[in-house]
Amino acid sequence: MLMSIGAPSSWRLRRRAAAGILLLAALPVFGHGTEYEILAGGLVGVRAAFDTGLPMAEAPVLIFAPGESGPEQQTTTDRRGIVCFAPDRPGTWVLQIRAQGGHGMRINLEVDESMLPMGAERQEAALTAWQKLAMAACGVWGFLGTALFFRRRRRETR
Amino acid sequence: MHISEGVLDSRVIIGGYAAAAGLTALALSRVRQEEIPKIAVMGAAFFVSSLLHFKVGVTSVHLSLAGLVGIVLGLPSVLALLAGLLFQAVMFQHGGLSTLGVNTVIFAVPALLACLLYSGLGRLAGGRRVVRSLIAGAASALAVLVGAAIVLAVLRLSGEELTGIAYLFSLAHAALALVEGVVGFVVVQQILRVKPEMIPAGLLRRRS
Repeated sequence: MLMSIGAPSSWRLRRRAAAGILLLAALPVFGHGTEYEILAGGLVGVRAAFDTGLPMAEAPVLIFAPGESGPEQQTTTDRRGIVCFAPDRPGTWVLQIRAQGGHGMRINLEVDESMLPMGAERQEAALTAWQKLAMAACGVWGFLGTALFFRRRRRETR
Repeated sequence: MHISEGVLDSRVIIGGYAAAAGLTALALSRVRQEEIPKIAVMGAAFFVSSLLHFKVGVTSVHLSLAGLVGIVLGLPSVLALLAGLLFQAVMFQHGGLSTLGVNTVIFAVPALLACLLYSGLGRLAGGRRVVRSLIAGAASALAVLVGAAIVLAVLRLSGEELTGIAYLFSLAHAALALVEGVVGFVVVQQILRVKPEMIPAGLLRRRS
C-alpha cells in the first residue's frame, strides 16, 4: 500500500532539505514528494535525506502523537537516515528531524485506523489503583489471618 | 530498594539466596509460636508500606519500615521481611523471585542492625521513653541508609557502573531516611507507652 501526501509547507522553507519516507519495503523517494507504506506490523518508517541525496544520518528525531505538545518518543535516525516508529492511534503524527548545521525537517504523517497494527490500542495501566488496593487488602488479610490463626491455636492449647 | 529481575549477575543471585537461607534458618531456629502473630502483623505492615510512594525529585521512593520491623521483632524480623518481599514480588512485581534472596538480605541486614543498635543504646538510656524512641528513630533512619548502601554494593558486585543515577538514588534515600526516622520514633513511642513488653530486649534475647 503506497500513499502519497502533500509536502508540508515547512519543507518548502528548507530548500536544502528534502525527504523520502519509506517503509522498509517501499521504494526510496527523494524530493518534495513523500511516500510511506504501512508494514504488516504497523511500523511506519521514514527516510530523511538532504536534496543532494545524502541521508540525514544519526539525526535526533522527536515524534509527536496527534494533538500532543510534548514528544511521544525521542530517537535518532540510523546511518541511512531511516527512523521507524509504531503509531498507536489515528491522527496526524509529526516527526521533527534535526540534522547537523541547523538543518532539519518537520513531517506530518496522516495515520488512519486501518494503518494501526493489531493490538495497538493504547495500553491501559496493568492494574488500576482500586485493583491494587484490593490486592493489597487481600495480602494484608493473609498476614492478619495468619496472626489470628496462631493466636487462636495458642488459646486452645492452654 | 527492591532489585528487579534481570539486573543481577547469577553469582550475586546465588550468594543472596545463600545468605538469605542462612538468616532464615537462624531466625526459624529462634522463633517461638507465640511470636508468630506479631511477626505476621509486622509482615503485613512491611508488605503494604512498599505501596506508599513518595516523589523525591525525579525518582520516587517508598517506605521500607525495615528498621522498625527489626526493632519490634528482633531476629524473627527476617521471616516477616521474607514473607513480605515474597508477596510484593508475586503480587506487585516489586522485586522478583530470582532476586528474593538478595532483597531479603538488603532488608534483613539493616533490620537486624537497627535492632542491635536500639537494644544496645536503649539499655544505656534506661527507662526514659523519649530517649528510647529517639534511638529507635535514629536506628530506623540508619537502616534505610545501610539498605541503600547494600543495594549499591550489590549492583557494583554485579558489574553495573554506578553513575549519576546511583547518587540520585542515595539522595532520595537520604530523604526517605528522615521520613522513616520520624515513623520509627512515633511508632516506638506509642508501643513503649501502650505495650513496652512487645519490643524484645535484644537480637537474641527475649523479654521474660
